[in-house]
Amino acid sequence: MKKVKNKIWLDRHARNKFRKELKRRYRYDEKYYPIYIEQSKTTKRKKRLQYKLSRNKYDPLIAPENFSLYSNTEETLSFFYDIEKKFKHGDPIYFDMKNIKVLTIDTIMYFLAILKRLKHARIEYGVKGSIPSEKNCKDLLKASGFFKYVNSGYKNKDLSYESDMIQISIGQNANPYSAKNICDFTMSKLNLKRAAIRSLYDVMIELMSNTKQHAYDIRDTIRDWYIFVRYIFEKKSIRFIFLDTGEGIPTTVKRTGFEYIKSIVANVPLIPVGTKHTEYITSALKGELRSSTGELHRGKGLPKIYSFYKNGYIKKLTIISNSGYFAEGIDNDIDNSLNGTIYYWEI
Amino acid sequence: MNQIMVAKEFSSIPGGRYKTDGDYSGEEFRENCLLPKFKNLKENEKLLIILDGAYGYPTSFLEEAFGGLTRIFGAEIVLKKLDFKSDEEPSLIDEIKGYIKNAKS
Repeated sequence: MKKVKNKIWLDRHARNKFRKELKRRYRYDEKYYPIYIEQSKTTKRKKRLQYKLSRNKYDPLIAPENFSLYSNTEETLSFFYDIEKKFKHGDPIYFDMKNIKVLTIDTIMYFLAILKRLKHARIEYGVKGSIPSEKNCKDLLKASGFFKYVNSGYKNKDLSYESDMIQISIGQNANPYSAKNICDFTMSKLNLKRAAIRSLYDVMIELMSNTKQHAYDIRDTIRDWYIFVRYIFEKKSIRFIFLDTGEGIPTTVKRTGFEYIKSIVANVPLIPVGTKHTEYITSALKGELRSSTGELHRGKGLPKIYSFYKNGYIKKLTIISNSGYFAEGIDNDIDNSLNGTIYYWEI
Repeated sequence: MNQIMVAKEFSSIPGGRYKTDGDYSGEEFRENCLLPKFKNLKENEKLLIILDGAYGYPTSFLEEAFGGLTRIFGAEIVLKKLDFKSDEEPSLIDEIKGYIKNAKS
């Protein structure tokens, strides 16, 4: 049966339609603005970015000469902090790498991770850049696989076992195939038998599993790890760099009640207490029941890696996580904080 | 004799702890290889686990496979029914036995 629309219905419909139209005009057409409507931060940032991009206005950010998280941690982290701040503010940046004299891959991996995180969070950003003029740095950047992940005119060099490195690879799971490739590379470069790389295989899988299970917040949709492997001909050794951009070991380890109170108190300015981040890393490595799950049979991966370090199988183990910096002879925190964890070691 | 050659019957590249962690996990090995053979063992029979031929055995893989089995049947039965062989890395046997003894639910 056909519905009869009476006058009341028609009036109400007309009134609603008029309200909607008014709302639309006030929102989109400035001449109809009867009052000032505050724009959201996201809109402001978007408009600022679009305006600057349309006029090709890029804020130059000059990378430090020693662009290395490993050897120049504070300055490099502070540089990354500036980049993130500018991105979040909606300023396009010109990433000037011309003056770089020392470049390490950990830094490139961390930069890629930041870009991926921004992209994933649907934060628009504008970034242009120059490559280092120093030949070694330029070659390393090209060979690292960096240009696989950014738009550029540069082509990647082929990944092959004749090459002295395995390009940056990214994954989310405990990937036995990646671990196998790295072990094969190690065996071929150092002329080792399979029995000699069993512990390396263990280390790789444990780090990948840790990333999958503990490194990231449960709500985080990015759960990536990055790995880079390079053969150092002069030292006849292989250097490994493993990165995740999760919460960091000091944030994810299980804290004792006393430590928890200390960490709360430490947030109050001028009270210099609180467990150092480096201490949390050391404690997790020593296996002092630090698994975030609290289960007794978990949290055995890091202690195993530490035992390989202690028995000399892996050398120069260095871990940077949040403000913690674990390395031989260093037990002090750094001033800046790294979002995630980087492991370095050599064989 | 009942035996499992892990590298041939399961994989030469064992993975992490759980199936959700990726391929060839300890959980997958326990459920698809270890548990069916273990359940079919008769009173005085033993199951030999041959560990040679693999790239390596991650801690979490071993703990989940053998520790996980212990959490179902108990340490005494698992230690009684399992035998291990590892010519490439003999210390692995003690490590696994340690996981079995220390497995807690």
